[in-house]
Amino acid sequence: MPEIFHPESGSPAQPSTRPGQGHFVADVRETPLAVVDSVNETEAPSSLWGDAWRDLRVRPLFWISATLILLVVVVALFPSLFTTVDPKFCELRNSLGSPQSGHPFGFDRQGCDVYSRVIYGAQASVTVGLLTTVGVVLLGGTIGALAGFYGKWWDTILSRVTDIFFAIPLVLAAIVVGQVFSNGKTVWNVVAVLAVFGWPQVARITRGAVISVKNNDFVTAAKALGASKLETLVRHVIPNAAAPIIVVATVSLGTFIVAEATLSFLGIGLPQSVLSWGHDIAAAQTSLRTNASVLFYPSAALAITVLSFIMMGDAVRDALDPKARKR
Amino acid sequence: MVRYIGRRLLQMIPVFFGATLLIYAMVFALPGDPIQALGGDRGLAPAVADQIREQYNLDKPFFVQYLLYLKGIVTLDFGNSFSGQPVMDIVKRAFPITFRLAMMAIVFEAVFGILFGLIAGLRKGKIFDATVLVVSLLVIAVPTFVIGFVVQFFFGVRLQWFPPTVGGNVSFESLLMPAVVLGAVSFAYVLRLTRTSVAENLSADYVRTATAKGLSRGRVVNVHVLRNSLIPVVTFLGADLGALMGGAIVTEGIFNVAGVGGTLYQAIIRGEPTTVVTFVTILVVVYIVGNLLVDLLYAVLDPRIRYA
Amino acid sequence: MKIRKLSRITAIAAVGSLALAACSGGDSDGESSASDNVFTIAYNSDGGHQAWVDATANSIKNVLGIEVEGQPYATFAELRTDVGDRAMTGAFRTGWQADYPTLYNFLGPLYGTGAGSNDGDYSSDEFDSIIKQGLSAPSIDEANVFFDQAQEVLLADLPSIPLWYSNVTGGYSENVDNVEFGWNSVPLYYQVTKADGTAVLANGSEPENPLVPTNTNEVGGGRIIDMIFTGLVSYDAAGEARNELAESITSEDQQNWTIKIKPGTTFTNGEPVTAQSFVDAWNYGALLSNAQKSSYFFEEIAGFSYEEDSELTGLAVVDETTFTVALNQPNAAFPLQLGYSAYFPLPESAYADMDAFGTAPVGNGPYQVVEGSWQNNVSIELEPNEQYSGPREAQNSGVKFTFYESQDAAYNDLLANNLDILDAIPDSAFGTYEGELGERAVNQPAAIFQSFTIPQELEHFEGEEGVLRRQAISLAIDRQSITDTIFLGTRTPASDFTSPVIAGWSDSLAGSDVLQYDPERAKDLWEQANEINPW
Repeated sequence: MPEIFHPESGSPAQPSTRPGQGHFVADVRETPLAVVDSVNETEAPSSLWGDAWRDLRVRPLFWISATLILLVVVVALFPSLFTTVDPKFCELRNSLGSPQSGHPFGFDRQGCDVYSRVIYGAQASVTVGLLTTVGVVLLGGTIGALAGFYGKWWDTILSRVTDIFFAIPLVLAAIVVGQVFSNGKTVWNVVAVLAVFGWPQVARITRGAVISVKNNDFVTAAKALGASKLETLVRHVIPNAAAPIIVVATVSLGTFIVAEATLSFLGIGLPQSVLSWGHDIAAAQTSLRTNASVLFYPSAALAITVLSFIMMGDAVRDALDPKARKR
Repeated sequence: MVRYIGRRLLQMIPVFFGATLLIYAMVFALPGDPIQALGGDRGLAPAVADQIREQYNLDKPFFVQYLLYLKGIVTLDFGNSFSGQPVMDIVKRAFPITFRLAMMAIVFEAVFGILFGLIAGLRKGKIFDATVLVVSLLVIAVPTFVIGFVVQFFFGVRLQWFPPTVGGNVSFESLLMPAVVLGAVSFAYVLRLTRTSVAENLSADYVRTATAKGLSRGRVVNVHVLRNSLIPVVTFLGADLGALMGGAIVTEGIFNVAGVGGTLYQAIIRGEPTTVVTFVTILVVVYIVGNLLVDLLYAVLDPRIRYA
Repeated sequence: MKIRKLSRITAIAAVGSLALAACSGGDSDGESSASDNVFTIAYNSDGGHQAWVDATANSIKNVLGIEVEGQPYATFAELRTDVGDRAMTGAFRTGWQADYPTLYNFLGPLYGTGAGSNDGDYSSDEFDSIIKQGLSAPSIDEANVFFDQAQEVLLADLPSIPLWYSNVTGGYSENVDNVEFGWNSVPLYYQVTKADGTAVLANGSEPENPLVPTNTNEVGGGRIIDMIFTGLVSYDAAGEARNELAESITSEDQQNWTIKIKPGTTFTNGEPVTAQSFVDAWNYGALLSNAQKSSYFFEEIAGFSYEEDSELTGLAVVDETTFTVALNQPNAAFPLQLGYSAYFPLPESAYADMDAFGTAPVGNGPYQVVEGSWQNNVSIELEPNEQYSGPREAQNSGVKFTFYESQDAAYNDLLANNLDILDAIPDSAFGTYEGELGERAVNQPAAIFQSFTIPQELEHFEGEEGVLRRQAISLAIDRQSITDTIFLGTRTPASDFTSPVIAGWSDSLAGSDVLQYDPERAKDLWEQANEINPW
């Protein structure tokens, strides 16, 4: 802290009264101006993420969505805590039965308990949704950011590759990629397929956002201050371009889980032995006219999961937004 | 600018070759022998199967097949499907109707998505915003086959406001329901992207400046905020045209539209390289043109973006 | 700070453990390991079979306590290839729709040694010899006695497990009358009347081949071929054969046949229908280099060859209205087969350019294609053929077929009266269609048989152990429950290998009790098999 240097005496200023002075000049340290000059040495340095966290933890939206996500993850990891009924035990005489004690959601067309299938199905569905989204954001985000930021040849090549992958039909990719893992189909198959199919969209959005951000003054400032291009990209451009990426990612999570349903419906998704909401939603198609509740419960579970991620995405994006001012 | 467009169009050529090769390879890698499947549940006598295989060049090695296909393209002969129809005819029949359907869907999702997204972004945190969130959630979580079924049943069968299927009767009325169903999920994306962008831009400095300068709220929002918010939205829409054209399998099945999605799906299941590669290549061109238009739009929306 | 680190760690831990759980949980790959043998039933996923396969699998699982799973194949091509290459590691769905209404059609091609559709490689000398005796029998009734005996052999060996007979389900709108379905589940369009005189609107599917009779092996094209052509014989609604163009089909020894056709009939282009029309058409269909998909219907005629181009030496034109057919072996049912589309005549104008003919065919049936009306994948229109005079004369002003990919779409059109006749109710409407259509709903037996085949060479299913296991599995399937619950009465549990629509069908064959549901006996037999060789 700079000492107030008294030019004449060379010693720390004292509340001085000069001869003839009728008023009191206070030491700067004792005036509100001290706030301007003072630096809080004990507090940690501020950063984008630090600020964001501080913002997040007071938002109710964040806590609600975090709780929901936690609930969904716990259900996915420990299904046996929530139900003791075997989801694979199906007796036809219970087909499309209405709710009874021990079976709160009734039975599906095969006579399996809907509630326990929803609980056990969470693992595969949430895993597919989460892992695919993470994969797609990492892959597509990287490619899009590089294409948008570096421009020229990077942009040309990466964007054209994106165009090619955009046009690959999901079904074709699913069957061919499924072939690669012919020794056994697992969740990773489906994640790989959906990631191959889904990254171009994120890449395009990222590229667009990066292009519109990189012309901002603060980027020029960062470059002037000596940040390397990569540093500028990662530390300055991406957090500012994050908003649309987060929106697309959170909405896509939901569409990936539903896409898994489409793949199951076509027979190229998860194997029959793996329970997932997708399987149940696809199988419910034939019961639509007679008993729509078979569709309702897995769809509701999916909706709640998607909702929680969208809310979380909104909260994180709001917190990250450097342009936001507290109202 | 003209040079930029010219360069982009030239880039279509390597993309064309890359795409055709990749897709041909993928169809080649499909499991199963497509010729055997032509015999249905009974199978074909091996001798007959061999004859048919020769007819379609499927007995030749991969690269020979690929080059023969390319050779045909020079004369605009894209080969024949397994049912004997020239692929060119199939293209001429399927693409126009799907293009029309996809354009209607894009208009629907763009107009309503941006409109509602704008209002939601302006009134962030209020009732309208929450309602919009619920609607987007419904549309994402409820699969297309359900939305399509419900819409078809209520508006087409019970209320009879629109013809339940399209079939041979291609008109604005018959395409309306499928267009709305097709655009439903994309509508959710556009909605949320607009809302987010608008909400973000509303707190930017230039908005404060403009308001301080005395511009009316309407002008600030519609001219300044909206324009700056549209970049991610426009990006999404540009790629969506191709996605809707190629991926509308479920919607086309429900409403009986003889379009690209259904035909492509059937061709993939049958393992028919000529149809699949031709269709996908045309879709690649659609994506390229769409993305080019979007990139040009960036320069219009944001004058800071320049192209050499 | 600490909270931030903590939540970061929690998030990573959550994603990580989900990933690990995915690895371990999703690892079941359907392959059999030493102690965890899984019995699989393969099917193609685009055929709407998932529900019944799952129900059947559950039924077997609940009774026998073993792991049973459906195995969907994404593409029919893959399934057919694996079946053809004998690469199946479990059972696979087998469906059979009769080409012509005879018992033999369900038995010979499927279970004869080396027969074209014998995908399980079943071979039984006893079966083969009884079939041969049946084919040489002097009359159909006597032949059927032998065919039933042959079935008793099958019931003991169970090369495939019979499940049920499919019904034909359909419906029609308020605008039409006189709707009846034929023996082959196709509506008899010619007799349908429409009050306002416009064309009858029906559903169809895009023909997968050009409209050439010997190259059409699926129902989309077959439906149209049957209407624009007529052959020696045709079938009425009950599956009884009656002569159409044939005046007489006679033989002394069931091997050499003399066919006389009615004089004076013509194709729509004026060409007369003669014995030569038939002989040339059959030769075209049989010739190897023409690669016609229905060529195997000419297998039994002398001169047929799969190795090289060869003329059917067994066919000889005697005069304008007579020709003879020499078969390789006796076949008492030969006249009954001749209603099938492969045996239709062709005009001479066809041979110049068969592909062009396939897009604008010239026939001799009750209808003809309205010129230029075939829009691929969309629709095709047929109008009555003035020159036709036979038992199937058109009672309406024409039929317009709209092609549907999804039966649900067609059903909704029917409900909205946009469609007059629907020939297959979608699964989703099984429970509601009878209520919605009332009298206009159709649900009657059809000549379609469903089973799943267990390959002869499959481990645990050979020899004595195999017979015990096959019977156990068959006894463990509660067919009635499945047809009631999944199919809502649109299927009938099987009591043999053919179909109740066929003359000569019997529901009291010896050994057919193995097709009943008997969990106790099933468990018992399975245990016995385990003693020979544990599962």
